[in-house]
Amino acid sequence: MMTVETPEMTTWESLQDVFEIVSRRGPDPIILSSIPYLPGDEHRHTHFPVVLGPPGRVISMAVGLRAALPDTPLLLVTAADSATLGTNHLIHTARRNIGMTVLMLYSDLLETGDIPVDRTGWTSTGYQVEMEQAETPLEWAIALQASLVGRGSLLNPSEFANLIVEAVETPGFSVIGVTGDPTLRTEVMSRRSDWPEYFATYRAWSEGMAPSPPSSIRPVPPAQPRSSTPARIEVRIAGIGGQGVKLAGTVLSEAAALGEGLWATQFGDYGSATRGGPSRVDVVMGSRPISYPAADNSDILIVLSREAAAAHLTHAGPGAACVADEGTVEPGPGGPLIVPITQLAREHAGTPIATGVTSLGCVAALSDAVALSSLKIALPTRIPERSVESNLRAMEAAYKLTADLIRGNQT
Amino acid sequence: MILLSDAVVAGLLEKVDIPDPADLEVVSRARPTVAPEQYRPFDYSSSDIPPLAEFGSGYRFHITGLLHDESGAPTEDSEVVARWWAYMQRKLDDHLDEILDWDEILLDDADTAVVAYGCTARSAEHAVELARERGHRVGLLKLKTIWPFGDAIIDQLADRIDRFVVPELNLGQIRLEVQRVVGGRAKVEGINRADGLQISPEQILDVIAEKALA
Repeated sequence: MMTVETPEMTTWESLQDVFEIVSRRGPDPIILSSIPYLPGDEHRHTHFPVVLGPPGRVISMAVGLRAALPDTPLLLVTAADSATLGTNHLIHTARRNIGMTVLMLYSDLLETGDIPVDRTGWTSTGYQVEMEQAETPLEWAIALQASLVGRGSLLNPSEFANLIVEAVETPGFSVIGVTGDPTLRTEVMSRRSDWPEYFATYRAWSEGMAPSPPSSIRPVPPAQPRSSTPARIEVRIAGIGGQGVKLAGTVLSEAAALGEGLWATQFGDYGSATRGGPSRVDVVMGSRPISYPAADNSDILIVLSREAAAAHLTHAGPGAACVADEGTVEPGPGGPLIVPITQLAREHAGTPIATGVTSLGCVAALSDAVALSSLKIALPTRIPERSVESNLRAMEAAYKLTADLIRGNQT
Repeated sequence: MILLSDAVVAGLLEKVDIPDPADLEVVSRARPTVAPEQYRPFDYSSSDIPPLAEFGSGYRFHITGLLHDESGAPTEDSEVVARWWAYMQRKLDDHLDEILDWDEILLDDADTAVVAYGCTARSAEHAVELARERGHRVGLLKLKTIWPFGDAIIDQLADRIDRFVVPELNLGQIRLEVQRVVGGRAKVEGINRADGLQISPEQILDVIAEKALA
């Protein structure tokens, strides 16, 4: 193996020599660099297509280029920035194993003094232990199951070029540490041939979205609501995080839009509401396009917790149809219909996460706008197949109970 | 160009009509005809839309977010930088009509115009619908571009509108632009909110209705 002493060359010049060797073995690589001003760099002499990007973000730029250019080698010149500023890009791209080669330059090559590139001091346990205990960016890339992880040296351009070529020819995500320190061993530290190339799936999706053939776009019926449908119906479902409230809003709006041909919006109250905090979703649907997506004056209001009942029932207008989950309000004349929604969800679906979807049965019973049959069509696209049947049973039970209560009130 | 994103619109699911791709006009970018070594991707001397080479087609050039010269290489040469900005300004001025965009909703017979943008425009549109039901002659100018400011449409409206209402999720920014163009020909009022909540249709409706009471 040829070893050359190149004390007079800058890092960028050395890299360009390596890239020249790589380009002679295959198609022109595209160089993406987050290091705009390497020592002695002279940008005017562009030997390759170069994309300069913000520190840490060139990985995400390369994802876009990979989608457009499936076969072009993408060589990313980065410092530790791709493991620090670009942590999330590195993680997501490595996990999806998107084909690119990240050259992570050791700090000695960038003349930044003694700033360490190691990312140490992680103390989290339990979750992704392997990744979080990795001490250097290269170990980290191995833990993320990158296709190829290695270390190359600018002191040995020919061997380094071979390593890059191997990385480029290995499908998937590669990381190579680049050093100029003669005491560091150059090697392939990890190879994974069993790791699938997920990007093929992404590419297939993007091809499915292309204008040709147009038949691949899921057709949506034009808005042709029944003449009796009002211009605007506001539905609010309020509860706590973990009841599947947002999901219920999504299913309801899709049932309205796709099943009934109505215009519809779904608008969630986002925030810290994941589990236990207040959660709310507003669905507005009707025969005309929806301008304002919030249900400030709900026509239908479903409350699934004591807090939601206290916060929303008092604001419901005189014409509003209100349903409260059992145990959230004191029963009494003039109050909301009381349906044991959580209990039905537990009984039929075995989980309180189905509470929101169960409550859609109440919505269908209270309004002609969205039929139970449309909800049944919309639900399976949004929940796991194994849960569809039990969720539908819970929804039907809520529908029947609500309809019975309405009939009981009328007689 | 800066695309102003918006948490309300981002968090919204809604039905949209996607046009048939076959009905869309596709304008293909011109490709370079010069030899790769003579190619200058940002040379605007002959066209405002210079030919663009595809990556991997043999044309090697720089792409950067830093200020760059005609070759694409970053530069701090003040002459090149001044030339670049003069060009950008000229291009903007020449194509302002194609860049500025707005919707005029129920403005034909209106005496009051609500001027709104972003998620607030959705509240404003609903407020206008409600106000119309109550007999107010009010319309909406929905700005889709906010800078450069659409002086011409405000100027034209100011000749026949008595009152502009400008709801904004800040303490008053676009209101100042409206005031500048209106130049005293009509009343300009802001509705401002900076508490993390949206401006509701009712809040706008109340201001629209104030005039009827006055």
